[in-house]
Amino acid sequence: MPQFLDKIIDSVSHFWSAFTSSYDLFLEGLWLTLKLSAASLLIAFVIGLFFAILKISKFKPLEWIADAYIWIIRGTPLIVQIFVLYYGLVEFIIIPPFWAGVIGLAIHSGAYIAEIIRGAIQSIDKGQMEAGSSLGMTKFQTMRRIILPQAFRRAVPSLGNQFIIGIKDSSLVSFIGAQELFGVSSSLGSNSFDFLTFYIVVAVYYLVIVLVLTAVVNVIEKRMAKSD
Amino acid sequence: MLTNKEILRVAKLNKSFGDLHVLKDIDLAVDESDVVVLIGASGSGKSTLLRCLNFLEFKDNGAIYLEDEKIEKETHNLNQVRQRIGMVFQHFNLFPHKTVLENIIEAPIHVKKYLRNKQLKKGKPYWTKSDLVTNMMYIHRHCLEVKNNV
Ligand SMILES: Nc1ncnc2c1ncn2[C@@H]1O[C@H](COP(=O)(O)OP(=O)(O)OP(=O)(O)O)[C@@H](O)[C@H]1O
Ligand SMILES: [Mg+2]
Repeated sequence: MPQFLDKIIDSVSHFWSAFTSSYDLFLEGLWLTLKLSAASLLIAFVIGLFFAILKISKFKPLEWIADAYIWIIRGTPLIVQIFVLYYGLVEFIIIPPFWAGVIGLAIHSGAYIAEIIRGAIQSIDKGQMEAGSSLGMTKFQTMRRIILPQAFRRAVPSLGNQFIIGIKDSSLVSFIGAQELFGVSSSLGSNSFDFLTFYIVVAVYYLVIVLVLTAVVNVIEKRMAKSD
Repeated sequence: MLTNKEILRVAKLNKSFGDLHVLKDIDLAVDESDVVVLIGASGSGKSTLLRCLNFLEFKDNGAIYLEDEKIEKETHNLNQVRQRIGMVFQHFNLFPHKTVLENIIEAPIHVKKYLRNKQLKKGKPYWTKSDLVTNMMYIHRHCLEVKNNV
């Protein structure tokens, strides 16, 4: 029994020393992960909103464009999309890893966000559009002032979920050379051959990010529930 | 005797939903400051007539005149026509993400582009007077908060 305890104490102190000795590198990686995620999710949101509106358009060709985009992006792995941008387009344009990652993540999350926003818009009672019309508002005005504010409230939980996925997906950008969180842990692992420790360390960083984001989403949800 | 100006006239209005002929040759004239009550069994077409008058449904044939002007969806900007007509829906269709006061001032500010401050001042007396507001309060959970703030 004491031997067993010793082992645990050993492992914990080993983990702790790995954690404290590597935190400056990980903090740099964390900063890059946050920049990648923030930039890509911001663009993804705009893309998502744009394609959601195309999808509910009464003009069929616009709907088909949105369908094609969503089909292609959801139907292919994110790593393939990132590699196409970074290695595949090398003959035509050289995109630095950070931006290849941002663009890849943005068009990827954008497809999912488009579906989330479309669903939320369609869940709003059609009487709301009629009410806007009856006041003499244009379709565009009613969309912006009446439908979308209500749709976004409904979409908050799903959007939060999608943002969490987006942050974790940014780890794939390490495969085109970005030293974000996962890239840092891989480098440290291969330098020391202590992969297990550094992958556990990086897992802790992701857990903390997701914990914070979840808390933020919960606060927003509560705020919206109050004002409903 | 004083005869008021005619505001609204409907002539031989017809509307069907598929095989269901809801409005049959409806004639109606409403003068300025008239109060008109439409009575009929459930499903007899009262809402359909009102919705046709606001162009939320389109008539099959017949004519609608607003202040002697024949209104057609082909020739008129319906949003502008609707700005001249007020309507309350059967199920109210209030904006649940807005306060009572914001519901009242939405169209004046964002459609008619009246100044916000002026409108807030105008909104106040309605909102303490009107029974309609009592109905609205049912939907707006935080209306009491607004009442205290305004
Ligand atoms: N969009 C629609 N499509 C098909 N049928 C419809 C539609 N709107 C109304 N109807 C039908 O038209 C008829 C008239 O409906 P309407 O809502 O105008 O009645 P109403 O007089 O307002 O009834 P109530 O007193 O219950 O409000 C009903 O039989 C209804 O089912
Ligand atoms: Mg009715």
